[in-house]
Amino acid sequence: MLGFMAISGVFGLRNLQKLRIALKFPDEIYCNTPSQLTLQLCTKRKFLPHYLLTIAIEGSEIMCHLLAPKQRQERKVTVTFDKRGIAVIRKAIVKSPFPVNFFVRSNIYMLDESCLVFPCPIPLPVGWHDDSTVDAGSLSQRRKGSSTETESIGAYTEAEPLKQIHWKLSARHDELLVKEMSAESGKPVIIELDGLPGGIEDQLGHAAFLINRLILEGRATGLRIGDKTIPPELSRSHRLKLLAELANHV
Amino acid sequence: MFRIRNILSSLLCLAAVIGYLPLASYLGAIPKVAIPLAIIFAFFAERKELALKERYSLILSIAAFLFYALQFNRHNVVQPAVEMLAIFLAIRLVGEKSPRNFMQSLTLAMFCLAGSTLFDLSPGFVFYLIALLFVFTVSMVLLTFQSRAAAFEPDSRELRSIISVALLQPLVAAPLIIFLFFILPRTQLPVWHGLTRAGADRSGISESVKAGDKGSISTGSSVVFRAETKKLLPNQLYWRAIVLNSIKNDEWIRQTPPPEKSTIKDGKNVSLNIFLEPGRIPFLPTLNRPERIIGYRGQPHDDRVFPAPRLTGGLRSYQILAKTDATLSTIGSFNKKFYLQPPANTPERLKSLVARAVTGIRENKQKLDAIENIFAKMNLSYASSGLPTGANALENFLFDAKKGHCELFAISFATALRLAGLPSRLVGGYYGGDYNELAGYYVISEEKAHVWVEVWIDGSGWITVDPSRFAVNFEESVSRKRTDFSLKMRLALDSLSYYWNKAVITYDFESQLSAAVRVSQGFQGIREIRFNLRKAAPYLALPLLLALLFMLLTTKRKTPEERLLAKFKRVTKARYGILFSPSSGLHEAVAHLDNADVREFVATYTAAIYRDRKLTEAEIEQLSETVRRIRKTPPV
Repeated sequence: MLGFMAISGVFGLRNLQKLRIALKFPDEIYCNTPSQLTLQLCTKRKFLPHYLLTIAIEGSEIMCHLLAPKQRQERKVTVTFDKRGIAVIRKAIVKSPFPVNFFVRSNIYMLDESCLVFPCPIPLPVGWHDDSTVDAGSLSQRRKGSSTETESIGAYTEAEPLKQIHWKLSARHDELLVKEMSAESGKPVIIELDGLPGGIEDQLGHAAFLINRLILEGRATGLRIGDKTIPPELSRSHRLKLLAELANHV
Repeated sequence: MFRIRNILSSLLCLAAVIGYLPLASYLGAIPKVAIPLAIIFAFFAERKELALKERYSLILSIAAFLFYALQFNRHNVVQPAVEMLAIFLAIRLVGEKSPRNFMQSLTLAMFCLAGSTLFDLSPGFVFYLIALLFVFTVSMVLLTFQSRAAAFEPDSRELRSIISVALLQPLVAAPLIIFLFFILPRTQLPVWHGLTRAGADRSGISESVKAGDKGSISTGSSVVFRAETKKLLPNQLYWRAIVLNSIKNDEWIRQTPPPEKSTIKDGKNVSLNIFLEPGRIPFLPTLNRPERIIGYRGQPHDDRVFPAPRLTGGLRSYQILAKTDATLSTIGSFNKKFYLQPPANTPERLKSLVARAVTGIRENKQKLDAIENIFAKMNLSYASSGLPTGANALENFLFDAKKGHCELFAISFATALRLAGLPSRLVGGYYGGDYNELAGYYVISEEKAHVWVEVWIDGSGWITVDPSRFAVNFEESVSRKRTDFSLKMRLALDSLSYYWNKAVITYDFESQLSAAVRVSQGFQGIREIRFNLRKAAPYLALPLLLALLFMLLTTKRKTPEERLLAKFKRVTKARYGILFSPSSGLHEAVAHLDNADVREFVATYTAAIYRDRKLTEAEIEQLSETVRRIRKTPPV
């Protein structure tokens, strides 16, 4: 029995070794908002599979029943970051009760994967309107039929209206894809951070909300943050650039 | 897709069968019937999801516990304990199957198998153990899946993979189990022998014999002991155990013999190892005539009888130094009258026959010859059944039925000797044995139990006479040499029991200690051996070749890119002391270094590798040249 227990211990230990764990982040991660990260799992083992793995990342756990050699598995793991700016996921804890359910062993894999967390978008108070927050134009309600032509295809970030989801294309991929429309019209605006209500974190949240809203409405949007002014533009990459600026604001 | 729960239920039934089979013959009626019924129920009920409710299982278990607890006593420990385990197993089999209950049932099946060893620890146990170990391991792994991922339903490929890895464990564990068996500290007495063993009191020899007290004799084929020695002549195979020297109520019994300083003369030295089968043996069997038992801790009696130590289980194997064809004589005188009293019921016809034969003879040797003549002419024959019984059994044997077994021959002959005034005694033990050529030992079974006579002849000492040899059919019935195929098969199978007995049953603390001493002596010996490479080369070549082949097959071959990078890192480290950690990139590592060659290498290399393409031959050539330059250029 002792011999068997010793060998099962070795099997349990080896079951947690030689794994490759990597994380793929979505383009947009917002503070205090659950985000779905993609966990890629494969093994360096040549013969034996891994069994009954539980991988814990930032308090979220996912399970993998069996990972065969040369197999690559992808799992979604939901993580909520509580601070904006650069967030680092330092480690993944891999646990398993394999081979016999007497003990749960664990092994730590250092990941040191980092991502940029944007401020959580906060809608502006109802009825709030101040022209001083915008330059070269004014806020307007969303116009019907503001855009009809698809300019490009991008990943769904939960900020886009559902009607923009390209269902046919999404069906062929693992994730939802949205049609990014070309702007038809709308005056360019520049958001002045200092003019937004509330403390600095609230201002950043309002600014993130406005950037998403305005660009999706098809208005070229710029940002004035401190002494720095980013001229208005209308593209997805520009929107991410503005959000990154907000995320990194000291 | 497979349901793990269904597979587990089938495996549990199999485990219960393996645990039950070796135990079945020792169980009482209730558990003997209960387990098979429970197994059948468990097998079919699982599909219909029928099970005994947990609370009823509990009530039944408590009732079984109380029932068997009442049967416990100092002399009856094993039977109630084992039967209780069997009933618990049956209850668990029909009960609800939570992962915990599955686990308990498997453990109970294992306990049942272990319990069977309290009755019989034969090599067959190993086969059941191995089978159960495999079933147990696979079940435990599946149980882990069942507990942690109940919804998981593996496909056939996944199931195969899980079962394979589960089976791999006992296979890998086997050498370790064997290693641990031999090195773990052991008790001085094997634990089994301390417990009451059912049906283990048979040894085939009696501590008293009486003419006419049984109509037939033992023909049991149970092995009593095995004697590891060279092959001996048939007439040397007298295994001495007990000497019956007195008569009480016509019964030959053993009393403490009168002091005599016995000595063994002449004969051929024989050394042999005896391995006793489990069972109560009051006197240790030896080869006629034994000089001493090595390491014997008791007090041997003057008539070369060796009482077994108080705990019979304490000595299961021992080495004897004996002399065959030797004479047992005495230094100085001893109380001869002790050996002269004839039985009270001696037949008158025997008395007159002996009186007539020895009249006028003074020499003891001639008296012995005269009595041997009487028996030789009586036309007696040897039989193991239909023996004369009752008060007149001796007379009936000698003069009417004229057939009997060794006890009747020995009693009548010793009586005749005593009537003639010759000190005599009965020696009980075994005669013959089947020699196992394969492993070099004799198997002595119950049916070989035998009684012969020792007679004192002045000037010669105690002489062995086997009166059964006067039987006209002695050769066929007593010393028959069987050579049939079934005997050969039986002996071949017996080799297993022999090695099992030798390696497992008798392996105690002393054996462990002596093995350790042998190993340490072996190491000392190694230091003294001068290493001769030329002689050792052929022995070393094959393992080295195999190791080399293994390394070649398993070592991952490096790509030209990997080789180039390794060279670059080596050179840069030597020139500029840069340490490359696995987690940092190349750019990062050389960021602070102002060296055009290094930067060029990193730029070209990463440009290719990060785009997931291989370096071209020209690039490899160029980068090799860059590395050479870095090596040659001293740092500024």
